[in-house]
Amino acid sequence: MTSLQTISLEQSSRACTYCGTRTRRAASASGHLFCCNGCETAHRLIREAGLNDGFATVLGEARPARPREDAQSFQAFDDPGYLAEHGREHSAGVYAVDLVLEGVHCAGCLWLLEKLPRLCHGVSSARLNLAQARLTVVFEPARAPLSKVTETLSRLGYAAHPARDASRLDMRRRQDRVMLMRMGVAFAVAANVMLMAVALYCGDRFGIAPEVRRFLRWASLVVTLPSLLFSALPFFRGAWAALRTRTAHIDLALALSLGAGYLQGIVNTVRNSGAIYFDSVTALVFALLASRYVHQRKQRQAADATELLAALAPSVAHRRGEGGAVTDVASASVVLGDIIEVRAGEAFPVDGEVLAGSGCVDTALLSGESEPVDVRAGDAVHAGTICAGAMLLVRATATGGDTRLARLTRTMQAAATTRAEIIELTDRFGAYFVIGASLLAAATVIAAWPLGADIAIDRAIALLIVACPCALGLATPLAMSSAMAAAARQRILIKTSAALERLTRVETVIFDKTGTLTEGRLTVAHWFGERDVRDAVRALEGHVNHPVARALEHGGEARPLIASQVKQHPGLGVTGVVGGAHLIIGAPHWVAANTANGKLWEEMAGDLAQQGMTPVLVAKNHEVVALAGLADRLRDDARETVAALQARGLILSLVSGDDPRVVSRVARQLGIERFEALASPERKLAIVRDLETHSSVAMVGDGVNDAAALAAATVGIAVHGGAEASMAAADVYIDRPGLAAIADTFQGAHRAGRVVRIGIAFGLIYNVIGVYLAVSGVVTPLMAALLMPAASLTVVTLAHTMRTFGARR
Amino acid sequence: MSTLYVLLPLALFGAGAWTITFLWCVRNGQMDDLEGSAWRMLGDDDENAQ
Repeated sequence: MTSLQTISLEQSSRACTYCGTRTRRAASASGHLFCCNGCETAHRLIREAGLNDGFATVLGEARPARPREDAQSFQAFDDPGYLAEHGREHSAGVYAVDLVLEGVHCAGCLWLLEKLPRLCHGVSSARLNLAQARLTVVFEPARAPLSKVTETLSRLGYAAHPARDASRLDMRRRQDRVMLMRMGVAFAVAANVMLMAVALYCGDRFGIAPEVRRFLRWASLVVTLPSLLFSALPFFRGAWAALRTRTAHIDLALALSLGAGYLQGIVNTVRNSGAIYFDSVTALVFALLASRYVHQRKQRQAADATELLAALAPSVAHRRGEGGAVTDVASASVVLGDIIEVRAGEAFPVDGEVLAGSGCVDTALLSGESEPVDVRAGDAVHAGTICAGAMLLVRATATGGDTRLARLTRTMQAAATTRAEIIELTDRFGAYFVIGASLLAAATVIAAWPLGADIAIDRAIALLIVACPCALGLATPLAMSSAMAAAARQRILIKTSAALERLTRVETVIFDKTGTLTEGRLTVAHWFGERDVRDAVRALEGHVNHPVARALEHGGEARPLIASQVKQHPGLGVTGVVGGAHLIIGAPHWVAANTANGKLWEEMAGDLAQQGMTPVLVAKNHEVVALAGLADRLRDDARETVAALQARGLILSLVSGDDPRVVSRVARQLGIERFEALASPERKLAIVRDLETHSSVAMVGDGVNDAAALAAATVGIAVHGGAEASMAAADVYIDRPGLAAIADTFQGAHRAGRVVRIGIAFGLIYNVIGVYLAVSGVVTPLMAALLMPAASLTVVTLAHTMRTFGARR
Repeated sequence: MSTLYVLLPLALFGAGAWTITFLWCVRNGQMDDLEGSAWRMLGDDDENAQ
């Protein structure tokens, strides 16, 4: 793997999970990041072989034991160490703990789980992040020990696990496998029962020997068993939990219809008359499992995106002991005051204060600053940022969940937990629907009883099957999560489905200028005077760490020249010798003061400054030879994006803290009529608030100065390379360079809204018509059972095939 | 019609064999990552080169 160490360090690089080499590759589906396929294979092999623990000791990385599911496991949650390690003290005697739950699959679970305070005394609140299957419980350990909380969750049908990543990945894989097995069995059964059903239907139409008919019916009954006892188990478990906690859950309706269908089939098989429903029951089980599986996978994709952030801090730290000996330990075991070595190219594992050494830190992750920042003893550094210069000695000042990075991740997670009002509505609606359908079924039995018990039960079963609000319940969350996943593939991270919904209503878009519409860094826009000197300038500026130096260093063809006697003059410029010539590069007044012919050039420089550019003079052998005008250039796709948004009927305006001359130039170039310069963060906030009184406003920004406005806006959009605060405040984070993504965001949200509306309309129409037909006896249980998965599948297909973000799939 | 009494169990036996093979594959982790194998195949050459 040594050859990989030579991979150049890019600012967006992250450490490989296995070997620690920095890589720019994206994380795999498992949430791990590997620099190469070899590392991925090796990592997988070690995990498969169960050598994880041994590997962890070698690496010095403490990993948690595998969670067990036996009854005793609840006791482990009461270990005082557990709360200390994983809990956060909310107020006196009240703790918040994150639990990862198995079996969370739909908006219905969310509705049920958030009722935990009512089911378990001592729990004051429970919030579920559906996308991550992560439940945050706030509780009083004195009244409700954690073991009791987890036991309650398990009684509800959700096995709780400590929220630790290693155990969650394990759990996720086990869950995936069981789900696949259930689907495999359900499919095999459905296919075979279907074949026998075709024979039976043909027999009914064209004649069949009675003993063959009987044989086929009994065979169907037996073959159906594995599907019902194994594949459909989650539905029965969910229904049982709903019964015990006296709550209405979608699983209850499903289990009722499945159970009733199967029982009716058994009775009719034994009596050797009437319809058997085995074919529809098995097809139903498979269709339901398939739609749940798809939904689960979509949720995972969203979860992986959020987790990327948390994975940015390395898990291993080099701790320096008292004697000066350095040992590698898990970042989690670093305590306040520990001395840590951070080598060049590594990310800081904790927040800390530099003790010794000076160098530079790449803080792009937190501040959006593309230039490395100089640090010296006494300066603060943050976990996740990268030590770009020499090795630094750091004393830990914040570790684990207290680092800025961890706080940022939590903010994003908290934001992700807020759900769209529209989803909550269908949730509540779904619960009433189940109760309503059950009552209606009872009424149907009573009303149709005079027609005969057979007919009455048939109609009730048909009603229960047809009334399942699957299509309706699936429509919104599925369309939303599918759109969010599609957006994530386009590197547009939409934090909540609520934000996605609000995006469709936006009428006004406010742009911040610097770094949003422009590149956010200086480049050479004009060059007057001698051209040949540029190579020498580049050679000299290569020694300087300053935005102006970067601008002058880039551009032009690379030709290696050697600079010597380089001397930096802070705030003024740089001097040095390149190719035998003495060069002075820097601020016009300083260069002019050190040269003979500087006065005229200085006036020209003043003109450039008037146009909102940064002028730099270049002198060769004490004679000014060139003038560079540096400007923050418009992004390449700024013009197209602005035009695309205007074509959507959006009103655009430009608000910047920058100089009026610069702002008006940018606005003119882009064709934006409304603009305001010299806007303070407070002014930006006021503008957003003012506009929001009569329209929905999207704020597009990148800096800390935009954070308040981003949070206040109907939808805040943070663009690539933005600062920590803006990312946390925004609802949408665009993780790819360029502005085209902003136009994509609006277009995608608009399409997603349409998919949701179509899905809801379809589900409602299906349910209303279905219930009416079932009660009036037109729809038989068989037809109902065929219709229901068909309706669900239609909605699933709609959500997945209709185009939202990005190109047509 | 007696063929049915032979053929149907035979067909069900085939279905059972398919199901058991599938379950074995899943347990074996062959379905855990459907994309990874495709990539690993491309990566093999690099590994040998090292």
